[in-house]
Amino acid sequence: MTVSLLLLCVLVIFLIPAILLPQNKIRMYTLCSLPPFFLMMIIYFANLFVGDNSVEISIGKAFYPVFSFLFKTHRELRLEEIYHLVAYVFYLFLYLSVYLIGYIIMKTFYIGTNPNVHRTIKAVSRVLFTIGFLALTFGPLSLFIIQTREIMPLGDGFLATLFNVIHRIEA
Amino acid sequence: MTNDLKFYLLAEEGGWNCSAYAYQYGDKIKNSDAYKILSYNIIKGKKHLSARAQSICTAYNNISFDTKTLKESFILETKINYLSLHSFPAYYINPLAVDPNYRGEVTTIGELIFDYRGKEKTLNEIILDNSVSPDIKKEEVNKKLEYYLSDMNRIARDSFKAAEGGTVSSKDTAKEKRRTVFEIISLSFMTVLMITIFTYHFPILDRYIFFPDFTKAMTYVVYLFPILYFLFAISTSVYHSYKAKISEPYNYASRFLKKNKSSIYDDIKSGKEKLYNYVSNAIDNKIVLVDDIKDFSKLSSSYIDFKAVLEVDSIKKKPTYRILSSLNGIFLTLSLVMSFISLIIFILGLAFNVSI
Repeated sequence: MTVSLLLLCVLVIFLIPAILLPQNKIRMYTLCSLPPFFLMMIIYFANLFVGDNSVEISIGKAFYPVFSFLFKTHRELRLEEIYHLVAYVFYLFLYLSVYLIGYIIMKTFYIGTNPNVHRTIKAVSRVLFTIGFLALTFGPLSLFIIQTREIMPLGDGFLATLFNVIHRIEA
Repeated sequence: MTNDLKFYLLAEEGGWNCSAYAYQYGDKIKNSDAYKILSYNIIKGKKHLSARAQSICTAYNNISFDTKTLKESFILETKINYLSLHSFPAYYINPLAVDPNYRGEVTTIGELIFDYRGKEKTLNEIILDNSVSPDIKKEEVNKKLEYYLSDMNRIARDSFKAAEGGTVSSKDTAKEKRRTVFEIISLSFMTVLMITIFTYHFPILDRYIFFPDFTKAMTYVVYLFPILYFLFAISTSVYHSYKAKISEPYNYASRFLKKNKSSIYDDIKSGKEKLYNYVSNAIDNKIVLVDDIKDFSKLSSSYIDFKAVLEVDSIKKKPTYRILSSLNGIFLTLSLVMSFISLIIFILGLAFNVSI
């Protein structure tokens, strides 16, 4: 088992609802995941833009007392690496929290369109929403797995090159 | 009614026991053309939601050939003749509730049968009738249109009840909700356990990932548990996605009804008004109606598909749904059992720092 295979398995789990779910549901889930996705992207690119991982380290330092217990058994990790992991656990927590808030709002106010009215435009939007759903849900989760893979007892697998582009693990 | 039956009926009324003839007559009725026509037409009738179609289907299902007297046989024959005649679509189709995919023998509203001055006539015959003034014709026709409106409102009400959980299946809905909650709790528990096992730095356990030893229970923790967890995740994903797909007309209707119930009744009423104006114009100008049977249907309006809402329960009784539901239940049970075993092995291994 490798992280690459794990991502493929997770992709299958996300792909099934992306294909099978009705249009209204897929639209609702996609809209729910838009705000947390953009929030995460802003933080992610801000970190890249500022440089030296300073945003990530600041977040890691700030939330170290909250999440550091998760990595206590990993004594081989350097403090900087723990900050990195803490930051990504915080991102996941933030993503899920904003997603849940969005879900509650959508569940209360969202109605959708009549599923039995078929229009060509619906087929096009269906494809777009399916891709959007995968990008906005599987995307952040796979990013989280790639960024935290150093605490997993698994090898990188065939996507190692891609993983190293996203986040290089120092030996 | 044959002369034989008249004779035996008279004899029975006179006090004779004619039950032997009654039994024979039951078989004759069963083999009659009227019953054959009724049996053939009822298959099509079952597909329609109009009250008349439903009442004919109910009456057909309640037919009993076990007649003990000739009087009962006579009543049965008359009933079957009546049902047979009224089992044709022209008698029961409601133009406001006709299926938009309907491709039957009735192609126009003009072929529908209306009660007109004590007789049953098609609308086209009424339109072409020169003996009565248009206003009286409109008044007569409007009575039937009002009936169509009330029938369509009844279908809408039944859909609302279904969408608001007021059907007999509300117990099933509560059961499904409990099951979903249990699945969410189980999935969360197993996910946390999986993350803990695979990210907790426990070298003894980690060793079995790269060097599996099938004589050790820990190997099954790192291999069998993830496989069962993955199968459960897949089955849950398929089952709930499929369930969401088939329940969408119902779910959409319940979301829509929270705010827009009155607009649906208004839409149906405006549909009836349009139909009345259309028929009135045909009566005034003596236009024979053609190819318009689906033009005024409100069954699948832009608001709610009433037919689809009422069909959700029956789709859930089909094999595909039941197989997926069972598979999901099986994998849930297996993975949950395995997760508890894994938890025990993990805790014991950790507590005594040994491989199990």
